[in-house]
Amino acid sequence: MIGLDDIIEEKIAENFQYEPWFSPIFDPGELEILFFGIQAIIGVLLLVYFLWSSKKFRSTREKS
Amino acid sequence: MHISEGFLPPEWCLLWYVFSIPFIIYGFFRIKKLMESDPKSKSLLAISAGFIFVLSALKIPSVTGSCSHPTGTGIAVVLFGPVITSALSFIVLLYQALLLAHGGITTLGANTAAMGIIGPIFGFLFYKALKKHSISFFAAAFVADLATYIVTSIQLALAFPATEGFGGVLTTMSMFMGIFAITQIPIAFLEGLLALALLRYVVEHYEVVPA
Repeated sequence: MIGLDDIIEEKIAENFQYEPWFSPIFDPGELEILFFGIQAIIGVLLLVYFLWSSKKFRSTREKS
Repeated sequence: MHISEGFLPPEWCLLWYVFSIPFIIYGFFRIKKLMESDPKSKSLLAISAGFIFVLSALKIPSVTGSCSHPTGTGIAVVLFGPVITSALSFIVLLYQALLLAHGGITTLGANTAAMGIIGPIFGFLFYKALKKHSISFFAAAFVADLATYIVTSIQLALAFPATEGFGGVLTTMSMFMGIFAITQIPIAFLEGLLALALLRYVVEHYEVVPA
């Protein structure tokens, strides 16, 4: 499925005859899905940390 | 959607870096201070950053056949305001620029300005204006998301005006906004609902006073 980024890139190239002056340092190619997955996992781990600490917070509050 | 690597002329890349860097530095400084003064803030920063990491990793399809992703800045906007949101967004944008070729290093300043600074400022203003109403959490996330894409359209229009002068900027801006609107409005709506649910949980279960 085509991303909005690709549509915008096409429009700029078509309408303004613009050539990008710099290319990505690292192109993940087929590994893109892996890196998006890692990004999502980092996010989930942060959310789990929040849930764990909020549970700890509630149990401390109930004890006191 | 972020502006891709090399897709802004060098002078615009520089300008947006100059605009964004003070916010990012001050944002990291505020995070450091906050973590030192309030241990509870660590977990709130975690949920704010986690929401940005997860949501901006999602590619959601639209009816037009294209796909885009939410920004995920709504939670950070409500809990901490735009300055800290800028630092958290910068981390995610840097990750995507370096490892995913999504956005770019040259356009990192512009993308941080849109997603991490100006979008969140508008979200925060709407949140403050509607703070007494139950819709305020939804509005913060919805507006922060949509404003991000409006700012991106303006950034592109300023760099690529259709003709010389203000009219040319408006023409290009309306072209890009037309492309974004179809995909992004439903995504912003979903993001608003998700942020509303999560923020209600955080406020009720964690005795948090939002920004």
